[in-house]
Amino acid sequence: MKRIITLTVNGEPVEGAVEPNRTLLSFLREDLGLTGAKHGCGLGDCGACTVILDGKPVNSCLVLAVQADGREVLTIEGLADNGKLHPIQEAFIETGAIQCGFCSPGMILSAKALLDESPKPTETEIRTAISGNLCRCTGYQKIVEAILAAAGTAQGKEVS
Amino acid sequence: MGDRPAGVIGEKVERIGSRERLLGKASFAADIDLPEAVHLVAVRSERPHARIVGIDVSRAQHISECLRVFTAEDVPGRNRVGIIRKDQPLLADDKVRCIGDPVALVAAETLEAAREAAAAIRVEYEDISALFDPEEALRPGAPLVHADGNLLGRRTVKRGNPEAAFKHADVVVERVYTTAHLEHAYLEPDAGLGYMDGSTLVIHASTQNPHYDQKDVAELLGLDEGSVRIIQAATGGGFGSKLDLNVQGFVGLAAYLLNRPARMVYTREEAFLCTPKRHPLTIAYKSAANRDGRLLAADIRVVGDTGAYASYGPAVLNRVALHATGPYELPNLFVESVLAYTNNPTAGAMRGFGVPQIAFAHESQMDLLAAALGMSPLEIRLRNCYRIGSLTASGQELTGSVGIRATLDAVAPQYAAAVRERNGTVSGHIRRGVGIGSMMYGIGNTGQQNPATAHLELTLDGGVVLYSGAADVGQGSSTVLAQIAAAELGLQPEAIRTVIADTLLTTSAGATSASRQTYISGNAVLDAARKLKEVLLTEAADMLKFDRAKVILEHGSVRAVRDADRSVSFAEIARRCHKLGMPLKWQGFFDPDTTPLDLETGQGVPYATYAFATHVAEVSVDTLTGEVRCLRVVAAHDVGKAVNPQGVHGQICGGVAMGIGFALMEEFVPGQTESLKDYHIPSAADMPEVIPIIVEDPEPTGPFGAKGVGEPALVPTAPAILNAIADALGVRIYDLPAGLERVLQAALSARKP
Amino acid sequence: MNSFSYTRADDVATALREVAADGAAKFIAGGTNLIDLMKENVERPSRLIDITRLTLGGIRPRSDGGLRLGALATNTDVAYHKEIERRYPLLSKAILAGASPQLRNMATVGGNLLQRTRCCYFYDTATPCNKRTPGVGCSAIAGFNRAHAILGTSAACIASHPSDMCVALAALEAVVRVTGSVGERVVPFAAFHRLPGDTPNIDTNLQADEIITGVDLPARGFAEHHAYLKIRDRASYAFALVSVAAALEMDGNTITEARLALGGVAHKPWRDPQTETMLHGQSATRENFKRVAEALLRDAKGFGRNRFKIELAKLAIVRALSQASFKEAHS
Repeated sequence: MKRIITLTVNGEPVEGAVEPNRTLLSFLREDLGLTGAKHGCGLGDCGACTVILDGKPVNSCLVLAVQADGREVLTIEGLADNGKLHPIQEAFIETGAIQCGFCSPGMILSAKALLDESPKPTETEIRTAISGNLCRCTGYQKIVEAILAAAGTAQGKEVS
Repeated sequence: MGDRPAGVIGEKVERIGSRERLLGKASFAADIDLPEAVHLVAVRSERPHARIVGIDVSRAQHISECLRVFTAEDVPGRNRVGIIRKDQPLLADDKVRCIGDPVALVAAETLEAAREAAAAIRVEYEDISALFDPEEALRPGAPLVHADGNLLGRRTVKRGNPEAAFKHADVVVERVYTTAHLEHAYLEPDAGLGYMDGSTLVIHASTQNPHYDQKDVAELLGLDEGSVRIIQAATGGGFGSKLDLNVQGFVGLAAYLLNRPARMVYTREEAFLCTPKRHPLTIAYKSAANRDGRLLAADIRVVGDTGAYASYGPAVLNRVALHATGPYELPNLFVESVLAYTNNPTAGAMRGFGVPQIAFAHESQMDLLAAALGMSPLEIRLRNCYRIGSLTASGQELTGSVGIRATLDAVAPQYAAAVRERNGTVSGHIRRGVGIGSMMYGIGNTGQQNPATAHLELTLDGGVVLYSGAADVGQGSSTVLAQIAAAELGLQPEAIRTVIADTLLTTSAGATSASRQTYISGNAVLDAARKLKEVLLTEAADMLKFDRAKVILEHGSVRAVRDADRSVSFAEIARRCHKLGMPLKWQGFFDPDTTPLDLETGQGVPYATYAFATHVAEVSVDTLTGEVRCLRVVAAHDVGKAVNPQGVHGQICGGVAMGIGFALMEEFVPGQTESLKDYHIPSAADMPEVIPIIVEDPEPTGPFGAKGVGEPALVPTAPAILNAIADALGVRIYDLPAGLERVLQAALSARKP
Repeated sequence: MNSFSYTRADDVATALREVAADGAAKFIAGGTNLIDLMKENVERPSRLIDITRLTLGGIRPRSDGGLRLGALATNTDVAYHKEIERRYPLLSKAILAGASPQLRNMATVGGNLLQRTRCCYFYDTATPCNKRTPGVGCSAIAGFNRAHAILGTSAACIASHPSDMCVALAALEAVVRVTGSVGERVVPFAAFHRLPGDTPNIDTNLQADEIITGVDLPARGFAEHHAYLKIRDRASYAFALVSVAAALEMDGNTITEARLALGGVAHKPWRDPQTETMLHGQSATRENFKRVAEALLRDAKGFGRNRFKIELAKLAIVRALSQASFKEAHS
């Protein structure tokens, strides 16, 4: 039986009717058309479905939509501010941290959650924070560079 | 070429497609919204080898939202696919040849119903003895995977007189190396959707190979090629796996027969189960050198498991044989490479087509020979590496862009420093090691035509549109091609609009494989750009009443060299050409200069150019646990010319990651591995610092001197790491992956007196 | 995932009532393992009772000087809690050695205790597995068993327990608090998980009508002498092949108390307190560590590909004990 859920997605109130066996990922993608979160494995192994739930990155493929009732979700679509890229997004372009781009939304949200908690992370902290986001293209090096650069930006330093 | 703008070739350029990917707006195939699409699920064999006695679909048909179950009989055209050999049924007809073989295809209104219906289908099988070992498959009397025998192919390469040379050698080293099945583990599971647009079947797919997809789908359905249109969706990595048809045939069949849009998205388990793998090879390698370290002879015999279907096996077979010497002169040579069909998962193309495996062997041999001679690993490579005038294994004379020596020189200081650091690091059970790995890689398909075409169009508003069939799967080919066009036309790359990998709008660029798009499509784009440029210059000179030789292209206009005020814009030229009825769209073409290989000796010119690379890996090995940490990789690559250095760095760093996985952790166990929990690819925490070094020994036939880097990036890493582990322990590992238990065993045996 | 009904419990009593009313109902909290298993069709609950809104979170001091971890405290909450980091660094390190940041943000203390094995045959419903379907046989014993148990196995099951956190809790001798229809009870950590025996389908001694409300940490946290050593195939985000939680009390170079718990080697976090006493009163030397490692693994049995774990476990024990003892000498 479907249940009505209300939640905040990217700052907007959202209501939906979902079967209990639907995941948050499927609700976002299919009901809200927010396809930025990707289905990479469905088992929490790859991190491509990462969204920020009440401030913390989670695997949306392992969260039931009904469990997100009353909570706040940020997806990649909600990160840019009126078309202006978030500094992490800018840094990803600048450093060339994107290849196929399938892991990028989840990667960026993990990075955002890290920088929200720890604006000046060390490289090790960055690698730990994104260790639940697999990437097969980049070897992570430029992603780490991008996050370091974005952390510089957050302090008013220019992205280089 | 004074009119080429600065800041285009060799500069940092924003990668095409970055922005939409960052915003979550790029349309990967599973993201495309088509609410009326039916969902497809395949029923797959759980038997490795069995005759199909019957398929009972009755229970599935009672599921209300199940629309139709397709079996082999429903395939209207030729029920066989395969890029090299058409040996793989879309839906199994007489028998299944591996676990995961598709037997039926369910179309339903919902994914849940499709899954339910698929689970309700009963297939009756009669088991046939199954083969899981290629050597066994080649024995007389072995059960047949395919009616015409279990030998997929055999390639020999013969030069000089190895038998005689071995007799006179000062050192001979003979070892056997093995490698495992590997999974590509691209992040985006295969996906696609199809629908009828009038009488045209349109398929959006995650693919590396749209024009091949078009051919095989058309033949499957008995349609003209022109009735099938493949559009590459944003593609989340391929690494060779998405060269074969994955979902295209299924969505095509359903959309065409049901006349309704159809969607299919593989689960991760399905991507593990039924997409091609890297070939596991057993390599018996005997090589010999004289006292001063010159290689004299090698006898190399390779047997590989190609699994149930040919896929790209024949390409792997050839490449392994031709790359078996590595980038070294070897006057006396016998190579035999053999691939056999088995009932294991199909092995196909995976970044490097067998070269990563054979490089593990040839680079281990180089270190073993060096050790036997008391020579440094760097020195033995320097003494033997190719130079201008060298003859390759196939007898091809190298005439230009032979940067192997330059890559060795480039890493030499880092290598020396790493060795010093290793010698100065003493820490009980943690041992440090340093290793070198070198490689060569032939760009493009082996000994056959593999042309690319491209078009450039001048629009009436003065814009330039690049049309290329080259699928960009994340490696950045679209950006590189736009840079090449821009550089030739005096534009910035952002000024070039791109239309990519749509079989209706673009002509074939061949597959995105074999590290070929920068070199081959790059040349095709350059050819088109030169044709367009010729028109622009000629027409402008006419319009300006100026000498043709004294006008140049600049920022979208043509002007007099010495008088910037005398200029006409591309738009003005376009309008004039249009009025005069002159073509505004020009085709470029390039086919690398190769010759077929002699069937017996393997002699010929299989590739028009080669990439070279050397990696130095530093590792620490915990001798009490077998844990290996890769601490640093220095990666020098001769790419001819780095059109997009940031992209080259990205390829190198990603290749190193894949190489670390190959060396230390990745192993697909048929029948067992089904998720990313069981199959570990390196995470951010596993990756060391990678120091890419770009070496540019320009390729005379390359666009602006460029060759390729996609596969070379991966090849030397595992050899360098295995050599570093051997350096650390004094004991060598011959079987990949060098997982914990193997390293631990090696460490324990090293401690014994 | 199968269809199921979903309710959200607002208090423990309601949750217990609801679970008692439906034999095929399950609690869901973080869901990181349950959803996974449901997607694989291994778990097919008729009803999920969402307990995430119960007031079972938080980490609070106890009168005996210990700490109480609420059953719904997330792995992240626990691992980064200041008092845990300061007084129970073994626990913090064990948690951070496991899973990924995303999973730790969802996974709870209670759920971690109830994690099920990652044996690939348990997950693969096409193969026989006694843990899934008692009596049908074990595919792992003669199958691909690289990650499987070497201690406490039975003819019915050689699955290993996947948790890192539980290995630390076993060493710390935590106590599990559970509430059921008959009231509250406490279960010593060693008695919480079970060995497979003839009933590998039953992982723990938690009753069907009970809920975990929290885990109590005793006052002693072994902050000075501890080590969590996890050996695995990649540097993050992989289950342990072998892990060791070592906790020591020392007087100079003399060990006055030793605790050793092993992960990845048995159906439960493995402890052998009798053998640990071999170290009491002994000095911290490799030889002594080797003796206890040999003794701990004396009954270990491999099944093919996992045989290497016997030697690996011994080496890991020596290493972990050395690390745990080493600290004092240098701090």
